Amino acid sequence: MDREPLLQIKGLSVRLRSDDETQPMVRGVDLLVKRGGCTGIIGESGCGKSTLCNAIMGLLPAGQWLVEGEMLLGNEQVPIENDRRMDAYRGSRMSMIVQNPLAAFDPRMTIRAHFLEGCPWRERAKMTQQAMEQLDAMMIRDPETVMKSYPFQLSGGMLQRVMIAISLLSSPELLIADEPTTALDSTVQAEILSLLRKLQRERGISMLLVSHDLDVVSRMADTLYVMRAGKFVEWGMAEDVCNNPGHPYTKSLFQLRSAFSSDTKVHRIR
Amino acid sequence: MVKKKTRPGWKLLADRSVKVYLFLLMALTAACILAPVVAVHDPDAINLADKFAAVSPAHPMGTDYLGRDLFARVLWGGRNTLGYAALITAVSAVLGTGVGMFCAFIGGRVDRMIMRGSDVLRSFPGIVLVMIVVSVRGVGIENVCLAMMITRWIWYARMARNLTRVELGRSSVMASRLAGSSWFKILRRNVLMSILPEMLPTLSLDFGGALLAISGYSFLGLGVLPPEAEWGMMISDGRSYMDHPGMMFWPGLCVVAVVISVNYLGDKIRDILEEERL
Amino acid sequence: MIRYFVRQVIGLVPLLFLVSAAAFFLIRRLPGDPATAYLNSINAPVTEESLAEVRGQLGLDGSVPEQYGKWLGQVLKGDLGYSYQTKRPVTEELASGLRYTAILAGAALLWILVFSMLFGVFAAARAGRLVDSAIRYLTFLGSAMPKFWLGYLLVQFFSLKWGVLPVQGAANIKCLVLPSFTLACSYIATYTKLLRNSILEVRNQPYVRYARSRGFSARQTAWRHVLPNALTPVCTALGLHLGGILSGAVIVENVFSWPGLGRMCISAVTARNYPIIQGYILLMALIFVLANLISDVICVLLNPRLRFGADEGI
Repeated sequence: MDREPLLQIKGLSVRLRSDDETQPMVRGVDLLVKRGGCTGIIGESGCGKSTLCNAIMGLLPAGQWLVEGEMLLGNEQVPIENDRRMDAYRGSRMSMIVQNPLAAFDPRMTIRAHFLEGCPWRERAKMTQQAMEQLDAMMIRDPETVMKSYPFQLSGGMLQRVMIAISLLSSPELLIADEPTTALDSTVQAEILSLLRKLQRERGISMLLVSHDLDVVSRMADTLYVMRAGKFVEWGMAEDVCNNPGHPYTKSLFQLRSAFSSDTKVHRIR
Repeated sequence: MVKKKTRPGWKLLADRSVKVYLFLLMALTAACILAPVVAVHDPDAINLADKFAAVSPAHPMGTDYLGRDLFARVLWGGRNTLGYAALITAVSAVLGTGVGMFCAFIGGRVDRMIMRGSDVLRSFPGIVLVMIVVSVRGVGIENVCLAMMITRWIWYARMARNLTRVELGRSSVMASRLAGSSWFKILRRNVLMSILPEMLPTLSLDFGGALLAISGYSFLGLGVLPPEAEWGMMISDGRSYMDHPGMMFWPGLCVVAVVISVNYLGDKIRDILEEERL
Repeated sequence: MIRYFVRQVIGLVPLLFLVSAAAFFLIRRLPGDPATAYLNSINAPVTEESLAEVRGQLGLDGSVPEQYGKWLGQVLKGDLGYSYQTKRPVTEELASGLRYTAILAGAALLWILVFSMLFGVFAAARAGRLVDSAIRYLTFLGSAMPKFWLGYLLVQFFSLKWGVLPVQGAANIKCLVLPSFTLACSYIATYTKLLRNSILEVRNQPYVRYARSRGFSARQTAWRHVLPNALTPVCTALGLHLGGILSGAVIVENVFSWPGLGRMCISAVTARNYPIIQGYILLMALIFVLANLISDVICVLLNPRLRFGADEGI
């Protein structure tokens, strides 16, 4: 059960530059994702989860943001402080699924064009073939039609599957899912989650799952971090955190959830 | 309510460029209004002995090809240019706002028809309409003004309609209605008072557009007719005397100054309103 | 998609009708008897028979709606009568004017595209910095500059002072430079501003960030996602402004004595040359309708959502 670490982050802090001062968004966090494991981060909106994800992906322009800290992917030091040098890691070694799939696709481009973007001419046929296979694996019934469609012609759940397919195409080491199900309705949400779980089990993908939804995280993650105001207030094995929350904030988070939900089996972990 | 209205105004004045442009605009307007006092010379007094006079204390902008004092003509011309631009803007704004609010209030088929019609007319080139009116009714500034008003009110109507629809959906309107206010009172007090600041940037930008158009038509010889002065017409006068650039320089400078000022003010007001909304 | 276009065109029919009616009543308002005026205009003797004949020709012998119908039929056949001044067919005169105006507008369009793209992209890329504010002040100046004044300023410097470009006329390509730039100037300002703001807005769209997360560099996403999407509103506006650019050429044509439509029409107004005015009005209305159509086509081509209709989802 003890797996080797894939992603190690030490003392990561992110600050937003404004005119003459900087505003801290993430304040010195340590994070560990194990190979083949699923690490969850939970926290309410505005606590810095998305900023953390974008920082890991190197999506924060250095002119606007100040990213400090150390990040190891495998055994390799990643230049997290420089968004331009992160181009080499993004997409190929780390992929991201973002929230609100309807807004995440370029409205002018078909799904095929999204798959083929940046692909050299002579590899297009091969790439199309791979894309179709990947879509098939996402349990999309009619990949042919989906490939020809524009984003607005597809439903949110369908687009989320396409997005997962795109992110897995380059067989990345790490998959970051930032609120992957927030914009979807609950039945679709369940489908996407079981798909992600299946993929993780079958392909051994390492995943960093970020959500404000305790249900989503507790169903997926083996390790859990609780984030508040740019800091992790509590972390550990998901089961431990859920069953014996130590920090008052975690406790209130769990209480709030059981008070509002009819589903009382909060601590059930799969 | 009072606080909400005064604050953006102060914010506007806090900007240094706004102060400069506002001062420029007010000084120029005041000088034009007070032209009979400020200008020593008669704008139409011909003095052929003194034609093309250089800039001097007696003639701060020199004289034109008939020896008329350019400074006096610029000021008197400004009365025409600014006055007609203001008239057109005011009439089309009032008319358009009225129609727009009416449409939003009535709704239904009347609203759809008027808005569809305005959609079509919206980008119809104004100069064609001016040509029609001028060739039917004859050359002259009244007719140019008439033609310009026919197209310009539409912009205000569209804007007022959309803003009014938003306002009518607010709970404060419902509250006033429940409190027993008549619709007329609600439209006047709740709706008009809230949409007016929103329309201010358009009003400011449109004044600049109207001024450019008025002087353009006069330049073409369709609007203000000689010997009366008008900025665009004065530039047209100057084109036969290219070696005396002063004749077209000064009126042109005035047009640019006014239009830049109102455009800047309009943009700034829009920025501040947008900030307020956030 | 075709249904969409048909609906758009049908919406413009009432306008065409109104304009043609206005043009028709314009000719009605000729001082004195139109038939006499017509005979005078072609230097024919005014007699009882010739008057009757001309009335028949001009369709002046029926009721007013009947006359309008006849007149409209003639217009559709391309017969707009003769210019009072040159005695040539109005259609011929208009065609030669339109050719020059189209050349002028085309050249202006070139200036507009090149400069607004350049300035807009540059300002957006350096948003908030010195270059951006410099470009913003330039656009302020450009949009406040009256065409007739700018034209003369350019002539003062380029023609009179430095003598590099001709003052007026339409003899060669050099003559085109100043008029077309004068015409383009305010539009350059408008589109620079539009494009800059559009780029800044598109740049924050989730699909741009998602494209970057797929490993594409900032430069790649800028060319593939930001610019194409940001250009959409610019293209739509350009289509709508096409009629405005053509009619806005009037002033520029007068400044530079460019033998285009607008100058022809202004001299026709002062000379009360009604057939020419009538032709100009009709032509402009037609161009306006076509420009609207072009703008719609551009809009549809750039926006797949309109091409398919949003209801065809899977």
